[in-house]
Amino acid sequence: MSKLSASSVRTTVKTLLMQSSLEGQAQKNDDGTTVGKKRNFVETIELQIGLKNYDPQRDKRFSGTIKLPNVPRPRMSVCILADAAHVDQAKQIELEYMTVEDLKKLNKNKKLVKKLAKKYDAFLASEALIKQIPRLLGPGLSKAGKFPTPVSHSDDLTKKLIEIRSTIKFQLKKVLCLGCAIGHVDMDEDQVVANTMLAVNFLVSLLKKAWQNVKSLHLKSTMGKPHRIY
Amino acid sequence: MPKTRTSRGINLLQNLPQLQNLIKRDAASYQAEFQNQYNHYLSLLRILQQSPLAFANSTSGYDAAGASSSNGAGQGNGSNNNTAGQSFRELVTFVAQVAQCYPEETKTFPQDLSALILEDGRGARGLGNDTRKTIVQNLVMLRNKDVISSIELLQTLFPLLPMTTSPTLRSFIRKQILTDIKTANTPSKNHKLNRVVQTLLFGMVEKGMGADIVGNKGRFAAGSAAAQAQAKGGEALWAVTLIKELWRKNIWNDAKTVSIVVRACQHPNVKVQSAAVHFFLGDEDGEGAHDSDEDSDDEGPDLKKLAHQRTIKKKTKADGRRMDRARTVVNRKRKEKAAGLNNKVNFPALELLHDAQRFGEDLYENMQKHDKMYTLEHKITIMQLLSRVMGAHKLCVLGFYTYIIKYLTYHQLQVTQILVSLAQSVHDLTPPDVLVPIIHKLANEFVHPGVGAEVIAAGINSIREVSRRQPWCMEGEEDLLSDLIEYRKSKDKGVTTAARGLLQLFREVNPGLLKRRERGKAATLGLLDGQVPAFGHGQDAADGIDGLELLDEHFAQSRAEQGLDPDAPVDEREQEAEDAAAWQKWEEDEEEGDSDSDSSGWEVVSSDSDNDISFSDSDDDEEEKARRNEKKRDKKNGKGKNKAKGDEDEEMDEAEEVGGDDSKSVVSEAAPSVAGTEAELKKMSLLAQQKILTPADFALLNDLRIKAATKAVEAGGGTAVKRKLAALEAEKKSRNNVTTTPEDAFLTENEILGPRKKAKMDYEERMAHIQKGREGREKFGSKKGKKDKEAPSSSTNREKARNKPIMMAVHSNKVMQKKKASLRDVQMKLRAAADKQKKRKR
Repeated sequence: MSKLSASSVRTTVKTLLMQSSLEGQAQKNDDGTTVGKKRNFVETIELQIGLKNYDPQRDKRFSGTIKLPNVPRPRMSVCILADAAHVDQAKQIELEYMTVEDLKKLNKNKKLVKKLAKKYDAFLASEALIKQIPRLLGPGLSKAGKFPTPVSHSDDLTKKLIEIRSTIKFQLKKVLCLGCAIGHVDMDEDQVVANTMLAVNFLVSLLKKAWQNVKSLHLKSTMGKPHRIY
Repeated sequence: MPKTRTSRGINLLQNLPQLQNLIKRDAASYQAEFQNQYNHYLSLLRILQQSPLAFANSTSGYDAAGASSSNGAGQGNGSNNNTAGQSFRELVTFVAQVAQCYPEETKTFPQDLSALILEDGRGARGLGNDTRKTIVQNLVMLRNKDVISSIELLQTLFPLLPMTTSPTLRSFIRKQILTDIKTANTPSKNHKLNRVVQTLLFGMVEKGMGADIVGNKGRFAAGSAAAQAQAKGGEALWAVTLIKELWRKNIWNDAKTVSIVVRACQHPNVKVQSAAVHFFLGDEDGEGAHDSDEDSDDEGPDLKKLAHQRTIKKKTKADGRRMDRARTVVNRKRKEKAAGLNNKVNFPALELLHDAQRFGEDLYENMQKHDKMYTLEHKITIMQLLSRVMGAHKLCVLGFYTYIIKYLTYHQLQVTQILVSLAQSVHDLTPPDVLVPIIHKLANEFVHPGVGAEVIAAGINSIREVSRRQPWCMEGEEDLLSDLIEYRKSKDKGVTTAARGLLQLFREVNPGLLKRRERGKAATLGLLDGQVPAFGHGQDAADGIDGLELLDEHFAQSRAEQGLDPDAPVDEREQEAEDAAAWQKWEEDEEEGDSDSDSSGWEVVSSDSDNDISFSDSDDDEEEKARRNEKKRDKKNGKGKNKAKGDEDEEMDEAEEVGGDDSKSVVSEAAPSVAGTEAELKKMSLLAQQKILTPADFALLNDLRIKAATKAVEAGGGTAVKRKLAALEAEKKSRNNVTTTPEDAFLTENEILGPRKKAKMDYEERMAHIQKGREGREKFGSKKGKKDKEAPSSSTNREKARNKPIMMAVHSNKVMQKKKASLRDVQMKLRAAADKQKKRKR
């Protein structure tokens, strides 16, 4: 596992997709067990990374966001902290929204803010509102890493939504491993491969010593087996 | 045999060391003797427990011992007690020495001792320093012999630490605690022990917690209340000191330790608070020095000694290897040390805070609530910590900004420190509107003609530092900004530099706020890319890897040079092979060793430098570049059309191959599911989707980025571009180093003060300076004639005449006149001389 090539990624993705598809369920191994199982939900495919030669206490903890070519998490829940104009738009596309009054009701209550932060995977906010967010909500959102992304009135909300849903974030915390969703099993092979490659390349470009900092890379679907690719 | 045995037995009653020796050899046979002594010890112990002051007189240990030996035994009550104390000490030592031989009999011995000394510490017993010391030493010995566990020992020692009054005993205990924890943690962390000890320490901190805060300023510090609090804080202070030391030695470095200190930051005792705050600030005063010699044993083997031994001893290969190993160890240690010295600030401690927001708010509340009770110095240390926490964790403690505003006057003591705190606390999530009043206050208070130049410089510098961290605080303040920038025409260097710095900053981050003519070339031409996004926009996702298009271009170029059609899809198998080679090379490098591999990895890449050169050459003529870009765009756009054909080809290829799984290549283009397929965006990330970049690719990418930056600089990109180039080059260099720390993480006072001209000294200072220079030197001047004689004096005229050069003497007036004298004069002189001679003889 000392090198990673495009073809090996492709093979891995193929087996991984097979294992969580109906075909995989139908197909038998040599010893009679089924190759895989199709679950009753859409499994997410996750990239798990182990690092080495890195001291998270001393070296700077990196973080980076990148937009993948294919939306890895279509069901990601997003909420918009909206002004009047955005409320209308949000209603049209059935996006959940909160107005300033709603936010004021939270009253900077830490628990309520935390609850709010937990409820959604990401937030949008009208440009006019964004400056008030720290005042209204305190640090709860930025602590959860979910500080809202601003949208102006000229932006297309649906477009913005897709952008947010296709954006992934690598953030190193106190431990030397990190993971992020890069796709789901309903995607076709090419899409998963493209996402994986871009994610891996981007991650490695973030590291100070590039590949020398990478200990392992795994691909894993939610309930499937992990597959080591590096 | 039995006879000698009994005679020895009689002796043994007095001679404890000998008995001890014998017991250690053969414990079973001397059981009776031991029991005898142990009973004696028990009875003495019981006396002690009955009458607390039984050995009270032996407080000054050595005097008492001397007195008893000179007076003989049994003279008077006092000396009686002394001998009792003496024998008690001896017995304790004896029992402790042999305790491991009789584990059954001495089961309660350690507990008895620790109970005794703890009770004594509470003032119940007057044991005397000697006895106390003996007991502590013996407890430590019992620990070393594994009779008691280190947890038991530490549970005794910790409460003892604040109780003891003797400094020697205290330092002994302290050292013992530290070494004990250190040895327990050396091979691997002893979590069980650490947990127990941390709980103990937490208890020590927690104990005084409920008390009222006693300030250290003016009337709040006066009175017995302060003294009382001092006594209460003693325990907590010790706890913090110990933690500090353990942290510095990297024995403890976990979140739990930090949380104890966090708690101590709220301690009512100001000293404890200050110690805890300094723990986070990481500045040690004085302690570092005494510790450095202590740690010097960690420096590894002594190279000089080894080298010297090698010149004397027989030289063997093994010895040479040992020498090499020692050298690498020493080098590594030195490097680590150098790296450690750089980051003095307690970074990880700040990182390990459990609930940073709560901590920040507590610090702020504590400071604000007791504003009148704390001294300025204390408040400033709290401010420093608070601002660092805010900066590192991007907290919003908005009250801090309104609080600090009252301290922002130029005549405030230590205002630079306050300005540093202010600037540090700002970060990109600070709401700009809370900073606006601060900026105004700074401008009104510091930057006007009525104050000194260095005040203006400090004011502008701090405005610059604040707006570097949150550039939007200047929004809508264009007039103020242009006023501040006008100061660049000032006569004072510091002010000029500060104003220029501000101008430069805004040229980079937000040229829109500047007047048109001040924006600078790069900003006007729109060359800058590093503009700060509007508030909250910070987290825009990257579309691809920085500079990837350069790599893409480079590959296309090199393909073209090899005579291939750059538009043609890459032959995947060929590329695979190429990649494999690159990986192979890298693996070999990696095996060689860490630091080496980097540089050689670099060389691998630059070996095909002919490509690079041609690349840069061809890039110079604009035409070709433009053409190429056009072609590229065509290629990307046309890919959709080409794709169908390409796919066919691919499928055919695949059909030809059996088991084409492995050889099947990556798609040339992913299905465009993202709405708005901008050609540019696609182009950026395409390469990254097609192939996994090898280490060599990354090295090449860095090289290309540097090249591009250099070109931009040559084209006259301005300071921002230059800075980017410098950053890239620094990054390249740092890859080869062990670790680098973020240098600009915390602000220093000097950055606020700016460059300052050295002020002229006044008369007193000048005189003092001169006097200082004269200290300890001899007076200037010739030492001739003064050194040789017994009584120092200058040389006489005779001596001078004797040493006069002959040619000068020959031409001197005296001699010349003699030569020129008339015959008569000579005769008269001769006669006079002859007469004189005659008279003398007579």
